[in-house]
Amino acid sequence: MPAVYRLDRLAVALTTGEALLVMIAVASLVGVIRRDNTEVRVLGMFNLGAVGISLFAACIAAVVVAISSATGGSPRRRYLTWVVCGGLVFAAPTLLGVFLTLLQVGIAWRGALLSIPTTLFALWTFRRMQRNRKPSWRLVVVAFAWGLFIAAYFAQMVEGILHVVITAELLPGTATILSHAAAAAVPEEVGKGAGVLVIVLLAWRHVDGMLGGIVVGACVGIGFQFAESMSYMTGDLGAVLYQHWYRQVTGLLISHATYTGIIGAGIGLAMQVDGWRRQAVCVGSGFAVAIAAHLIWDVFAMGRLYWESDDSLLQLFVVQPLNLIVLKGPAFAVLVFLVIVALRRETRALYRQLQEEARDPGGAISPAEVPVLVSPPLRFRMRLQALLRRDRPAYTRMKRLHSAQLDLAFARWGRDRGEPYPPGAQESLRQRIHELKAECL
Amino acid sequence: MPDGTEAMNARLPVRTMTVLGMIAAVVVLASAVVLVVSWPTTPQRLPALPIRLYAYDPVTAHLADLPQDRFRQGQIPVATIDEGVAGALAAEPAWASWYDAFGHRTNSVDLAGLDDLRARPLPLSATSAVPAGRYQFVLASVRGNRTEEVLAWVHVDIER
Repeated sequence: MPAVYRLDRLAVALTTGEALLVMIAVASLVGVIRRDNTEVRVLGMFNLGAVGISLFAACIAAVVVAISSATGGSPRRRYLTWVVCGGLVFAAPTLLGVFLTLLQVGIAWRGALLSIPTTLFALWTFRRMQRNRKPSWRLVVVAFAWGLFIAAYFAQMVEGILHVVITAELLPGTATILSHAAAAAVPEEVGKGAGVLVIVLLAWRHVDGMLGGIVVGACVGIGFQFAESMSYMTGDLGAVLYQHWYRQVTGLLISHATYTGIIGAGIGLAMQVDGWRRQAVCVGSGFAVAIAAHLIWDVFAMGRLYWESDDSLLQLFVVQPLNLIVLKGPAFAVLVFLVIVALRRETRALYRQLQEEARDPGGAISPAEVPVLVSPPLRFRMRLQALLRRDRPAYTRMKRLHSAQLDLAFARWGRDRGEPYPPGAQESLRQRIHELKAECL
Repeated sequence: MPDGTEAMNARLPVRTMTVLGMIAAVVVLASAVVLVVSWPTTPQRLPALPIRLYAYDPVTAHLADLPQDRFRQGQIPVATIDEGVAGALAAEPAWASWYDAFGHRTNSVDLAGLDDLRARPLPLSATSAVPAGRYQFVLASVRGNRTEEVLAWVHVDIER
C-alpha cells in the first residue's frame, strides 16, 4: 500500500474532530438544561441539532466505510472514501460555525475591513519564517480558516457556557477569576491546537517539521484572533478603533498566534522524532506552554492586575503596550527562541543532505552550490543580481532551480527520518533540476 | 540510511520542549493549588436577603424612584435593602461589594450595620459609567476580619 495514503493519520484527525464535537455537545446540553442565559440556550439547541445531524451522518459513513473495506478496492479509493465520509460527518457543525462567524463579521463589518490588512500582514510575516521552503498559500489559508471558523466556534460554545456556569455558581473572588481564566485558556488552546494537529496529520507532506508546525499554528492563531477581534468590534467607531489598536496592532503577533505557534512547534517536532513517548512529550509540552502562557495573561487581564492610566493617550500608546510586553512578551520570546531552534535544526539537516547529494556523482547539486543553497540571504542576493541585470527569465529560472534543489534536500531528509515519500520522487526532482540547469546554460 | 545524526540533531529541540513543558506544568499546577485554596466556602443564607436595585444617573446625580432588575448602558445600578428586612442583622457589621462578570471588584464598602446600606446605597462604580455586561453584588456579614455568611448575591445585567 503506498504510504502516502495514511489511513492511521486520517483516523487520528477524524477522532480529534469527533472529540471536539463531543465537547460541544456536552457544553450545549449543559447550557440547554441549566437555562441560565437565553442566548446560550438557543445556541445550545442549534449545536445539538448540528451534532445530531453529524451523528446521523456518522452512522451512514460507518456503513459506507464498512462496505468499502469489505469490497476491497485500491488504497487510494479507500482513503478517499474515508475523506468524503469524514467531510459529510463534520459538514453540519462546520457550516454552523461558518455561518455564525460570518454573521459576526457582518455585524462588525467596520472592524473586519480594518482588520484585513493587519491580518494579511501577520500571515505574510509568519509564512516568511520558513526561510528555506515557504508553505503554500493554500496551507496558510486552510490554517487561517480553521482558526477563524472552527476554533472560534468551538471556543465560543464551550468557553461561553463555562463562563455562564462559573458566574452563576461561584461567588466572586480569586477562585472565580482563576476559573474564568482557565475557562478561556483551555478551550481556546484545545480548539486551535486540534486544528494544528489535524492539518499537520493530513498535510504532513507540506508541513516541514517544527518550523512548519510553528507557521501552521501561528496562522491558525491569526484566524482565531480575527474572529475574536470581531466579537469586540461591535460598538461605536471609537470602540472599534480602540479594539483594532489593542487586538490587531499591538497584540496581533503576540497573542493567539504566539500561543498556537508554540503548540505547532510541539506537534511539528513530534512528527519528526521516533518513539511515542518523545512524541507525547513534544505535543504535551506545546499544549502546556500555550495554556500556561494564556492562563497567566487571562488571570492578570480578568483580575485587572495591570497598570492603568487616567490619561487616555498615555494608556493607549504607553501603558497598554507595556502591559502586553510584560505579560505576553515572555511567551513571544519563547516562540522566537523555538523558531531559532527549529531553523538551526533545519539548516543543519539541509546542509548535511546537500553535501551528501553533492558528493554523489549522479547528484543534482554541485559542491559549489551548497553554501548558496543553505543560506537564504545568498540565494536572495543571486536572484537579486539577476533582477538588477533586468534578466527576469533568469530570475525565475534561478528561483525554480533553488526551490527544486531544496525540495530534493527536504525529500532526502524525510527519507532519512523514514517518512514515506512516493517512489521515484527524488529521481524526478533530480531530473527536473538537470532540466532547469540546462535551461540556465 | 538513518545514521543517528538525525537523532542527535533532534535532541536539542526535544530537550527544549521538555524543559518548557515542565515549567508550564509547574505554572498550571500552581494555578490549580491557588484555585483549590481560594475556593469559596462561606455559607450562604437561605433565603437570601432581598436586595433593591435602583438606576443612578451619574450625570444628573439622580436616583430612580422605582427599583429595577435590568439596566441600560449609562445607568449605574446602586444596591440597597428595604427598611426592616435586616431584622437582627441591622446592627451587625457587614461588607458589600460589586464585581464584574469575571469576579473583579469594582466597588465595595465596610458597613457598621446593614442599616448603613439603606442609608447610603452602594453604586456599582464610584467613578464613571460602566460598560454593558453582567455584574454581581454580594452582601456578607463579617465577624472580626472574616466573612461569616453571604447574606445576598445578586446578578445584574447592563444592556447595550
